[in-house]
Amino acid sequence: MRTIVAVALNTFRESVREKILAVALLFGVILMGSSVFLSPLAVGAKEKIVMDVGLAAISIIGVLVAVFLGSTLVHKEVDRKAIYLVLTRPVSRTAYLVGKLAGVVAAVGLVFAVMTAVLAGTVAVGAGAVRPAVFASVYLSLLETMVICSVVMLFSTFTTPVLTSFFTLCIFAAGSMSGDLKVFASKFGGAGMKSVAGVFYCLLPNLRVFNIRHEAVHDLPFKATDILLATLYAAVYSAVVIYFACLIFRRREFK
Amino acid sequence: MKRKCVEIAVAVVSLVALFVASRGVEGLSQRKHRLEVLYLPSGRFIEQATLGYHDLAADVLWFRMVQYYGGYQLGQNDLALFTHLVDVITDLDPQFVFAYVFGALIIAQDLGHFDQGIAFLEKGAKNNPTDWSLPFETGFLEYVYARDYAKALAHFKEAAKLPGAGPQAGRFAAFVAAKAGYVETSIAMWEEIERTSDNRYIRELAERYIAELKAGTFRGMGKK
Repeated sequence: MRTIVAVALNTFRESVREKILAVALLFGVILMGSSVFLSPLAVGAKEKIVMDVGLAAISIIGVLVAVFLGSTLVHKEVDRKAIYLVLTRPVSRTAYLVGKLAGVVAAVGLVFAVMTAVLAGTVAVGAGAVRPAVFASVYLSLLETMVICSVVMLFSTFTTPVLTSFFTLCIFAAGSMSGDLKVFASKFGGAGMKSVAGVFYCLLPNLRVFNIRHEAVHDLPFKATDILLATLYAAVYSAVVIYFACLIFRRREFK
Repeated sequence: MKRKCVEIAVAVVSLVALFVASRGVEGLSQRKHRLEVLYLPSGRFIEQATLGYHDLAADVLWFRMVQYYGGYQLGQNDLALFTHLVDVITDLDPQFVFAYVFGALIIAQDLGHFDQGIAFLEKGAKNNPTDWSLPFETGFLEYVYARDYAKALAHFKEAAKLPGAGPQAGRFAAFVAAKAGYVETSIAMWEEIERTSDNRYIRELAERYIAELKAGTFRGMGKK
């Protein structure tokens, strides 16, 4: 456990120093600010638009930061041969990967905290109030990012950063539509198609469970058990993906 | 020094060229804008394509719709695609109540399609059964455009019963009840307003209307 914390802290420090984190944060804040300046054109939908843009910006920036930070983490250490220094110490490869995941998630969490504060400030400027559902939505976006981070980790153990980013973004797109895949197969496919779609449905991350942005913006009711289930799902999915990442990483030889 | 001057001159010329080029394609981009609205796919397709960010897509289209309506007001375009735009926006965000209200008003007022406007409000009420502004707006359209006071009264009464209803819902219901010839109902409603309103002007107005209704001098009083 101590080694995981040590790797996580080191990864967090390293991630925070990355320029991409600052650029993404700046971009997110500008995006949120732009919704305030554009709101006079919104004709009666000002608060909705500020909230929509804010929550979507938090989610999109979170996913992009996770992909671009995570895809280079392992590769950079291998490239600089820094990984030899870590793995020759009593640090298991599993602890190394779990620590890396925790560090990236913590860095994304920091970005989320800053962006949520900016969103709350933006809403307050418009004499509105941030509802608790907004914080629940941000929390679920963080869980979504954790799932994406674990997918990034999996690909980064055996391929290049560019391909890791590409594959992860494809998984993100497919995961956002995984529910439709099942519906499509049940409506148009035969028994074989349904089975294949069923397998893909389970393998792909079901990212819709992490989306309550609509409910948060319109103050619609949602169940606390949904949040709990989503938390469990994210934990199980990330654990399984990291397990497979560890299996691959353990077999990898560094020259 | 000479090289620096050349660099600055080239930079200035480049910027001028950029401005000229931007101006040159301005017409093309406006034509493209029209085409984008024309070929806007259905809300269901856009919902799939936006990967869960359909509320954001609804906001982007809302800005487009405001521009499109602004263009109509300035005489730059017609409103032929307005109904489709509002339909897509409300498909992407079924809880966007203001889009139903604004859209229905423009469809009934500017396009003259009263039934389509009402249909939009019904779609909104189906998706937002507890929102009072949708039956209120339906009552308003029935009152102003169809002059169907009985239907308007039913919608205003429905709006007034919903949680968070503005005081105007009850006032409109009382006013329309008199127009529709439901004098007893109207008096009862105005009495309720007189008793509950915290606005002195409204209380005085209610008192005056009650007196006029009882005396049979209320302007525009109808028959059942």
